[in-house]
Amino acid sequence: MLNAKDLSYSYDGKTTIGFPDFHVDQSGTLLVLGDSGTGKTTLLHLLGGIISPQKGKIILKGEDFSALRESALDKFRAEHIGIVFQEAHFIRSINVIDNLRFVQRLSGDKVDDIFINSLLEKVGLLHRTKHSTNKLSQGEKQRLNILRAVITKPSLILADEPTSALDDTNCDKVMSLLDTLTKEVKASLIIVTHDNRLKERFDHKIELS
Amino acid sequence: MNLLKLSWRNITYKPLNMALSLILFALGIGLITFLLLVNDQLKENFDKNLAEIDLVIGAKGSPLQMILCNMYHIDNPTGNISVKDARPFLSPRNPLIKSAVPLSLGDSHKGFRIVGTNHKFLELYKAEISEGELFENDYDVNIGVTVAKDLGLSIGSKFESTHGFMDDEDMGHDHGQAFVVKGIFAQSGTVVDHLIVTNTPSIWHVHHSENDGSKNDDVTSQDNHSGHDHSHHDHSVSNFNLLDHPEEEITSILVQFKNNKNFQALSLPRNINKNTPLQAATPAIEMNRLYDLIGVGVDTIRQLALLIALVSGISIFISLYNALRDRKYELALMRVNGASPFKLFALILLEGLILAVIGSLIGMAIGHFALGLFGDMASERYNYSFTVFKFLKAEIWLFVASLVIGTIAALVPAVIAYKTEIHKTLSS
Repeated sequence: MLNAKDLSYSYDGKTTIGFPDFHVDQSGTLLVLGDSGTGKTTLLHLLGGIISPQKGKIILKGEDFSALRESALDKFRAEHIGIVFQEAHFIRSINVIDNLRFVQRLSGDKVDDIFINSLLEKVGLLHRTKHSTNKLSQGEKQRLNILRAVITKPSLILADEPTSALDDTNCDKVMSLLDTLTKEVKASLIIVTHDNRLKERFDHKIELS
Repeated sequence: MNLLKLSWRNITYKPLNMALSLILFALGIGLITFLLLVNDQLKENFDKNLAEIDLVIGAKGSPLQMILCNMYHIDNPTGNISVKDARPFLSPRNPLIKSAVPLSLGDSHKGFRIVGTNHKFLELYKAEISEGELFENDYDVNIGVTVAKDLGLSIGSKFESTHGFMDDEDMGHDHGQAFVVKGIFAQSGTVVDHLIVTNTPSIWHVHHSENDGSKNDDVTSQDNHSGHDHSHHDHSVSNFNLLDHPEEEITSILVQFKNNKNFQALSLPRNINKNTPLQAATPAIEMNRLYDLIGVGVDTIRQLALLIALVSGISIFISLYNALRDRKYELALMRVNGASPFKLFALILLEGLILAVIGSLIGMAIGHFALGLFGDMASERYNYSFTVFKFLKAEIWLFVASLVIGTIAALVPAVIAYKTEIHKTLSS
């Protein structure tokens, strides 16, 4: 379903970061491990369609989206890719449910309150729907962060260091949630991290150096 | 949750910032609205009261004061003139004059002026009786609608006049006979709404009786003309001829020319001022002089209002710009989730526009409300009525201008939002 081939990216035109080729099946998973400075975030941004590679292809569902123009790329990203960022940021002026509705709307979908509420219930946030995101605890914010990435039912979910700052118990909870929600929407999952605790959980992994 | 709702939520998320921007914007627009309304209605009132009067003839003094006193009834008379001196201009045989209306001023009732004149005065202002009948005999009065309303007077009501134009009981006339309300004028929007109108001899009676009673009257002191004691007989308007009383005094004459472009008519004021003990003033000239005088102040306030509007535009800019720095990450997230750069541009622009729309609407409401307060004061002091709910075409332009200010203020932040670099922002 996802194919990355000959990928490389250069920030200043001199130093080029190269990435290994890889493939992820429909509903499959991939762990990308690497220390700081190895280009993990760059790879995540390339796979998320946030930046375009100078060289190589990224083919998702048969389309090389790395070659798309900006407006087409925006649309493609909104429809097919969900990203769980390391830090959970939301639109602070609107409440929990409106944050999710707005993301659905931006992706071009109709707002589906039944689906939203069912997921909110699944992650234990149904009682928080009308609350400001500022009022949520760190754990609740992280759950909402994951929920936002799956709310548009994307084909690919990317997660940036989802467990790095968590203890073992919470690490398990977050990984379990990611696993459950990804399966719920039948998406592929790629986690980019330096957290070696996750090594055991994934069969399919690549290491950046 | 569409862009408009999100813009609104973003604005109201920090209510203090919003309030500051709105207050400044509303103050600027309110001040400009107030000036527009006052200017328009003052000019309309002035124009209505011009009543096609070409010339005012009265006692020597300040010509502007004479105009303000005799046409707008907001200043004191410059003095009195004798009917004998005024005779050439009162005569129906004067070839230049179509209409000459004598006025006798100096008295009032509870702050409302009493004007001694004849029925031609009412023709000047196109005043019509809505209730009762026209004044005919001595001590009959017709009152303006504001007088009737404010003093609770109706047909048959009686009152005594006071000397001068202030509501002062110590200045009451003691002539033993009261004025009787015979008619009430329909609302005309002119100064007549605020006047008490009677015949000229009634004013003479009041002052003669007073002189008989040894009170001194320095404004409209009238002497009995020889062999003619007004206090003992009645003058009906229809059989009274002012020219038969050369020794009496009046305050002024309101003149309409047969042809106000005639050279002789145009040079009449200069001739009167040069060759007679009287003074002639042209209302149009004096009012333009007044506009020029007031104009300096109005221009200063207008410039101040524009400055406030400019500052308020800057405050919207600062508010949006600061919010933008604060929301950098949110905007990048929106881009990641599929919002186009144009959507972010529109979001910030909408925030500026919403502030401008609300600010200008509040400002216009403030402007009209302030006119209401000013109108109450002006009505009492200057005999003018102001309409709070009159809306001007200029207000539409003001609204459009405020939208332009809001747009310009939001433009730079909107462009910054448009250029949001997702990768850089999320990586930082």
